[in-house]
Amino acid sequence: MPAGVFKETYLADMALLRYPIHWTSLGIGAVLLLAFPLIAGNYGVNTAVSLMIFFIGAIGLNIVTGLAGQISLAHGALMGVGAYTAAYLANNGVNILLAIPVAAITAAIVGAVLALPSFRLKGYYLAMASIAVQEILEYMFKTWIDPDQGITISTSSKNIMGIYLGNGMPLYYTVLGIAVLAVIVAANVGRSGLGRAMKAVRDNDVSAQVVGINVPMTKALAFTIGSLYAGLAGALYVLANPGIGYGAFGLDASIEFLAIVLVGGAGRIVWGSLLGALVIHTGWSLLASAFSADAATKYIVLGGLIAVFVIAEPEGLIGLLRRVKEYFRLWPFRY
Amino acid sequence: MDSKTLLIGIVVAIIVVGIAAFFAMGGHKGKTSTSTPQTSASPPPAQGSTASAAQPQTTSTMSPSKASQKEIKLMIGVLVDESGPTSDVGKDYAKGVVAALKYFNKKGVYTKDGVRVRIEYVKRDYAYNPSKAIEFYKEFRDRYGVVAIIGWGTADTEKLADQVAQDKILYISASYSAKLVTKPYNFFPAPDYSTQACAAVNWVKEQCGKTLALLYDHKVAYSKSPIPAIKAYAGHLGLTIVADVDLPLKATAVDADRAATQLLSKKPDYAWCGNTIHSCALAAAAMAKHGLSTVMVANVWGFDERFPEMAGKEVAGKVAGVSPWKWPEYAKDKPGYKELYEAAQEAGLKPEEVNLRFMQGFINVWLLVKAIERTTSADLVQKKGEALKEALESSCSSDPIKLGDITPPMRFCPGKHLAFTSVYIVMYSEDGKFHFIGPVSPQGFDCVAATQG
Repeated sequence: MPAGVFKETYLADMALLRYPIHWTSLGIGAVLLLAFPLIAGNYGVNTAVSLMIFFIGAIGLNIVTGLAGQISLAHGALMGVGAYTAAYLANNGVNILLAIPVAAITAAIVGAVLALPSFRLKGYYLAMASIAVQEILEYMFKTWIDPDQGITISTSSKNIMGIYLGNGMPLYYTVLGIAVLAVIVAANVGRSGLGRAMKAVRDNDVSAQVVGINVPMTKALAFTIGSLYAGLAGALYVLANPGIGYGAFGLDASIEFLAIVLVGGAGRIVWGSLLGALVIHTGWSLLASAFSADAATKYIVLGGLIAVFVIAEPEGLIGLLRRVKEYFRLWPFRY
Repeated sequence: MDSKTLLIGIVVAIIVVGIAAFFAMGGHKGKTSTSTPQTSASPPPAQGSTASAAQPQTTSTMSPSKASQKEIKLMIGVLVDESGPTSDVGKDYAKGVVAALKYFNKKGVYTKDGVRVRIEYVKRDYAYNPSKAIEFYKEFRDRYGVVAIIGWGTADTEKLADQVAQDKILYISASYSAKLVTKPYNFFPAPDYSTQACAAVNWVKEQCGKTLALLYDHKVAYSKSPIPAIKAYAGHLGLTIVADVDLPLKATAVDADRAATQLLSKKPDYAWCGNTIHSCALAAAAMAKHGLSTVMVANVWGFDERFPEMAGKEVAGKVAGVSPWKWPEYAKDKPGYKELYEAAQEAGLKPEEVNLRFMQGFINVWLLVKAIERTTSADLVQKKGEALKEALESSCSSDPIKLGDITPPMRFCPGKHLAFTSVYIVMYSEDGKFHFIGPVSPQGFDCVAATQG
């Protein structure tokens, strides 16, 4: 009788779920996720929806920063592009389920344009350029798109076949469904040739070019896909809220996304983003709620966490968990 | 399934069930409850505080017949700006709200049928970010099941107005936007900004002013709120608007100087400042520095006791503000003001800390207390926010609401929540003192309609 798990076909080797534990965890996770709104109440549902929205947004930044190595501090504004597009369409009679993909694509197009500076810049310079982009987009939101400090979203656009998607269980399951799709796509981006090209660009763009990778195209695709996710998160934000305002898409949102990626685990697109969103976004919300913390405290906490993780745990929480797992796998031996 | 897989599965299940249970405690209870009867009329409870209010309430099933023996807990949300661009006036307002809640809880709030109501609250600083306000609103509603909210800014209150009506939550705001006047669940104990501004324009006309300049933040809903009405009413009275200058709500001295420079060539007789006090004080100082003789009239949040200190003595005789009420310092003998000072004293504040902003927070809570006093315990328990709304609207056809002579008698009618229409013009004169002129009102013009378009 063979010991261990053997993969006998290429298909089995390339499968996303390769081990029995994956299938078991997936089954348990799916049941729990589906049952969650039945036991958690409206506040729990809203918190979970918010977590999923930031998780989706963080996946996008993890592709740009974690996978392709391009620092971006404009992710909050790109989320805003998606949100305002979805809000505009929803308020003009387009059903939100149609507005969501259109908003994501619009953000992707804007992101592709914004990728242009990355062809010539990298590192801190690119980070500064992205802050400029953030400020420009924010200015556009404030001045032209949302001069009244907020847009109320039409509720009729959130109805489909008599079901209101903007609250409670219908909202939760809609966002959950989209999040699952987003995760499947993102997980496959990381495993594809494009994902490997991004990693090559991240590790050494000169070497990547030498081996035949089209570096500008790879960077542009990373920004485009990352922005698509940001736009998707923005559109879902519109679905989940009765109104939106540019304050949600400011530099602090971009910093929050960066903190999610760095604390969760840069380059670990799905699990790193999920852990980061859980700790930074939801954890912060609950802490702020418990201690009535103000916005200034948030900057201090986020800044401190980024600093601690960059210095002490560059692989993020996912790296920490991996070491814990390794420890138990080898226990009682040290190595 | 091997044992390792099973173990991991169980651990994951415990974590998820734990998280769900955590939310269920807050979400489920908060969702269904607003008022909680106690089984005994205990001594006055500890005043509402953020910590105590954070405890979710249980569902009320009180029988009205046993109401006299019981106490109802009423959960409310308090939305304030203590760290954002309007915190220059928001901090003292928040103090006033908290002091009033403690004061009225200690003094005792009773429904029409004599049941004591203990108001508990949860306070959130949203830093004048409407998106955060929406987030906190959902927390108030879904986690704490609030029946009423003491709110703050114009943009967020306007954006939430339809939602609070749908959720039947009474919303007493510090925004007096004219757009809120027709919203069914929104109330404030003052004339709307447009009516206030129109009254000021009327006063300008009476002072034989011919030209008027507008200084306000072109990107802030609060600042912009009365502008359409001012323009329409000025045109109606034959006044000329000679400048429409963008002055940031969070202005620096440079911004103020730039704004004042734009007025140099126009030399308007009067200028309207539609921002909060910090911004208006900087603009007044800059105008004085440039030697303009223009008299600035500021919106209610743009002018109070601190103005001379912030703008400098040079502005004496050149600045005024509108105020729907006499400031605390100037009406101490009125019963409402006595209560205000008592509340401040109990909150540990010195008399000099009782200013207009503190009073604004206090009277917003007092309006809520009046609503409770005008309803029955049965209605409060069963209809919650709707009962409070109906209680305030009962003033339309019965006794008006009186806040100890702080305000004129107030009437809120279904479809038009405009408490009264007069304001004082508070002039900071050359003698270095404030003088209350009026009350004045706009004449023959519907400024609310002019704002709503």
